Amino acid sequence: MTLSRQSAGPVLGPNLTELYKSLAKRVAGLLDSRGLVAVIFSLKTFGAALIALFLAFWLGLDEPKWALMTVFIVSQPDSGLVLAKSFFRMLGTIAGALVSTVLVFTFSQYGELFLASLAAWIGLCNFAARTERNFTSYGFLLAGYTAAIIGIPAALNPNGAYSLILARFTEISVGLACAALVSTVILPRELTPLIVARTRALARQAEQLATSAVNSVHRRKDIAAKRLQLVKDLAVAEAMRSSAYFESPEALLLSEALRRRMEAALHLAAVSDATLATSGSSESFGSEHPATLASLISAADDTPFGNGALISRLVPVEARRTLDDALVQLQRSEAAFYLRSPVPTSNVCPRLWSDPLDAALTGIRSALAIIITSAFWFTTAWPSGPTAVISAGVACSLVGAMKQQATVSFALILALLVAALPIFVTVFYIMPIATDFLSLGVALAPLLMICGFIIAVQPLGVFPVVYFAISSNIDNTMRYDAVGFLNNSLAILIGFGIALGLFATFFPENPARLGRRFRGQLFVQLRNLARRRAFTLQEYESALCDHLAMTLEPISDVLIVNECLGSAVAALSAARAIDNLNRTIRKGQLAAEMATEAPRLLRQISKTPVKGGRASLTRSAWTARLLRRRALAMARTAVDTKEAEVLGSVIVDLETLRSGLLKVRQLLPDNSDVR
Amino acid sequence: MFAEIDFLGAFVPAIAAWFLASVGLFVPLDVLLTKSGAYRLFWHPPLVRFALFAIIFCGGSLELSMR
Repeated sequence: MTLSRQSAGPVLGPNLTELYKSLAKRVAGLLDSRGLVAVIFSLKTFGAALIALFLAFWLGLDEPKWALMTVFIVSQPDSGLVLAKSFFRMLGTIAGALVSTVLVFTFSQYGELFLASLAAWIGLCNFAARTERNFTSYGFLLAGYTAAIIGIPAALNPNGAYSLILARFTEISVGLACAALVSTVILPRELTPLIVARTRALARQAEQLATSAVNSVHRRKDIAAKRLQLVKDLAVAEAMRSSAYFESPEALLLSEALRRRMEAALHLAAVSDATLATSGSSESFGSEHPATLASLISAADDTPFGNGALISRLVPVEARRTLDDALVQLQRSEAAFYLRSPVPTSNVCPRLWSDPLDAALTGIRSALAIIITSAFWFTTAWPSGPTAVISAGVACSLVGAMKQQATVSFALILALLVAALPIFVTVFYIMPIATDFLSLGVALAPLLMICGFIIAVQPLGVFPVVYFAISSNIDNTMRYDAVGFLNNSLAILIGFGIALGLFATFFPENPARLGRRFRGQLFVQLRNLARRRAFTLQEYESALCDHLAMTLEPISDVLIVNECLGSAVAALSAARAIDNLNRTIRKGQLAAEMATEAPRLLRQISKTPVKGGRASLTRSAWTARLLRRRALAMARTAVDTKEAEVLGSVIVDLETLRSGLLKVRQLLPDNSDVR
Repeated sequence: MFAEIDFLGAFVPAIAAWFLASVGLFVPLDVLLTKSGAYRLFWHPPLVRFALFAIIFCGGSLELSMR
């Protein structure tokens, strides 16, 4: 018995294991292929939509179409994303329902006032959505257009307003529950393993970038491309992390460690820029044990030439030290992640940057769309006017949060025109054949499953489903009204058309303006950093990376992309110098004279005006140079090596700050110094 | 029997309140089970997670409705 086991084991065991492993690998690879993911997603979403529709019919809800529509709106191929989106959709729906209740019970007798306040609310929500990120932004959008979706029908029928608001809320909740349940229980596609793999890849990318920066063989153009890719990948990874947070408690526990890992990768990438700037000028990168700053200072001649040569040696040595520290930090964060050691949760919520002007324009544009469509409705007394107003609100909200809005809204209108025929055929030729729920499911399958497949590839595919749900008025007792269908279709097209017109004409987004606003933002945040009140360097780096990725997303012009990247690198190097100086000042390691002069310089930078800022920055750069010379003189006379070392790093910071400030001048408008 | 709850003048079904209470019970239990690694014993953790919530919600609802 024992013998036969022993003989069979080595022959069959490994073969079976290998077979099993290769089979599992093949199945996993197949399940991960894009096409199959889309097919599975389409089937799951259709199943969830049918469950939601059945529940809505069974509960006797007023308009089951909202449950069906909600399933498609929140569904995403990754289950973590569905939960996050559902959570924020629920919050947005509650806020929208509450506001519509207030508006209906206050202004329903005064149509103009009602629509004006609705326009103001939607404008405000879209403004807030533009300043936020990911699904928080989505929550604000929802709060805006839910008020239109619920409020307008309720205001037209104030007597049944309360029950209508409650019914809409219930229908949406049923849709959310079904989508969340199906996406998490049936063939879930968890986000956590994806984000873990992505952060691992990011860490390797950052290490490669650092290696390329140290090794001067690599061309700067290649390094810039790598850096750009890293910035984009980091932004995607951060968006995934913030959604994975909702997936499971395990994802929640990993979230902080993942954040640290990404921050360390970003810091390494940012630091490698400084190394890149100095890599050609020093031999210190080749040596394993670079000299200390104090020893370099004591060995140099005290002549103008000697001082210049000394500075150009000190800067790369310090850059190498910073790079080494960043590498160690990345490795520590990786070790902490793999060993699952407890990571202290940061109490500081990273503040991301947003462009207030851009957000304000989005808000005004949305409010204008509501006002113009309402004016058209009131003037023509058009029975489908409410649908047009709701469509304009929805289009402004959803498309307003995207980039290239005019192009997207045009594509949307085209998609709706294309979808009109299959939807018409489904509603008026296929659905009437259905006699029970099962046959209704079969009737809906072709259209909804194709839409589900499209959504997995392109999220805008959800609009045809919304169009179908609104125009079909799917209910327990169906009424087939072709005239109503055409009127609704026309109303949706007019609403979207007005939104498109505004996106194309009312301060349309253009790459040059985006780049200009980005550079302005860099300068403002640099001032805040010098003021010390805003954030730490790590927060500055994270916010810069996020803002850079967001700005570059719609820009295809290589010149503008390079300008933005160059500005970001200059701002980062100045920010690092400011942060280092701030930390040295806080530690109280500076001698009396430097301890008063360095904070004064930072105050001077923090008060730099935008107008005439170039001259002010030049003055600050000269002050930094003066302070650097004084620090060098003090370092030469320092008796203590530790003091000389501190002064040496201050010299490097002041030199980096000086050159950074001169580069940062380019962030400001050209004509600012013209008097 | 479930009575309706008066919430700011609006009658809300009591089952909605119990739903929120169930979520409140489920979340700490879920975190505890994840930390202890209990979910690793199961083939399909999301199904177990859902079943756990269904037991808490439905069990509590039945218990409350019979009073």
